[in-house]
Amino acid sequence: MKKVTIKKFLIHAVLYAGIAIAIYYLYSPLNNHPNNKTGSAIHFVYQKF
Amino acid sequence: MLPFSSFEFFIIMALFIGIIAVCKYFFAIRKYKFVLSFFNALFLIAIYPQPCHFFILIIFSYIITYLISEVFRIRKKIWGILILLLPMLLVKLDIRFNFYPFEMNNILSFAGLSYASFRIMGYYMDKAPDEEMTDFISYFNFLSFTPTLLIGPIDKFRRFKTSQDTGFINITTENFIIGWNAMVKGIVFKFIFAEVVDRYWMNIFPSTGKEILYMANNMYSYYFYLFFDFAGYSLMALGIGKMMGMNVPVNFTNPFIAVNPQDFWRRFHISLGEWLKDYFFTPLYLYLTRKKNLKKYPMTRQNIALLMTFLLMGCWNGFKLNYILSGLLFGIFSAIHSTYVFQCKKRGKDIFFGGINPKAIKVISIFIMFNIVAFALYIFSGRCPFLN
Repeated sequence: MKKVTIKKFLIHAVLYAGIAIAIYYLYSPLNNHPNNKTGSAIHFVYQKF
Repeated sequence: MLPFSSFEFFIIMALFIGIIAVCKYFFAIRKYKFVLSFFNALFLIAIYPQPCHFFILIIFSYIITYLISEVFRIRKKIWGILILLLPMLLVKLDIRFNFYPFEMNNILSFAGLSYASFRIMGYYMDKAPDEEMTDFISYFNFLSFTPTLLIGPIDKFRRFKTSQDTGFINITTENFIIGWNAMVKGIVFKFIFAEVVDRYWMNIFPSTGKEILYMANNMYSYYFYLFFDFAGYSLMALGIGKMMGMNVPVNFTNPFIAVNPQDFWRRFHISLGEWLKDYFFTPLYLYLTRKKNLKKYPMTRQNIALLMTFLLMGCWNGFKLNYILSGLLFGIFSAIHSTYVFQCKKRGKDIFFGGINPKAIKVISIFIMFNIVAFALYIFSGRCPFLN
């Protein structure tokens, strides 16, 4: 039981770290985009539509 | 700021969820709706663009519903529907025609008007003639519930009210984990998958290129993009709603494996499909049943109702050729499928796939559905070069 919990925790930790890294690499370059006047990368992406 | 449009929105929602969870220990169960209305109003006033528009629409629709159903007691619902949908109709017409002496959109339009109008009409249609009007706080919460404010899912009032009445009870560790998982899945869908499809697949070829390769690329990539974007929003709304103690309906369940058009609308934008079925298709079908000329032709009645329903869905997106045409296409697909099923039942056998293995039929059906849906959504996207 304990092993399963630790395994689950580790999988989740890797998964969440992966999500965080993916979001960081997708959006952080947009903070410095010349057309970005919002100060928020996600908001900037949103405005395209 | 619009819901889910920035990192700050999630911080604000975390604060709301935290305070609502603490309120559970200080307020009685029946007070949940007041706590929720405080946060909904706070978000509208302090953060949402054009809050006055939203407040005016809520008050306008509440008064109109009250007058029509309680004071004048008008039995024919069509008049009430037309009045309640008037703001949305004026805005939608204005987008296409611009025939008013002033810009109607500047006065009436605001983000979330369409979804609010759908919920307003849903409440009015569900209200029985002898049923008492609901209290304003519940009505306000129903229309302004922050996670579903912008793009649904389109909830039903009775379902929402049941969930609201047990709001504090629903705030449990189990529900928090379920909500958290849904929200994270939504974030991955919207902010990673949809974004990757948009940047590295959908836009690698010109969006209006007339080459077959460009069009096929646009068609399939747009289908995936739309799904991840929209399903992502819906999952985030469901997750945040769950953490706040509210059950938001599921809006997407694997649409890529749908085997026929009916199955597709039970998997893709489920709340819109249900709304159209309950408030437009069924009443229209019943109306056509009463018509003398159509009494003997159930298939014709059903197909007319299907075409009209999907045409309405197309028009709701806007009075533009691509929206109307895609709605019509979905209507034609559904009509062809229902006619095929009817003919198969009449003859007692599957006309085209009679002798084939059921598993192979399923695979063929999924393949056909995937492609025709991708085509209809490609028309919807406005990226088809022949419609520009």
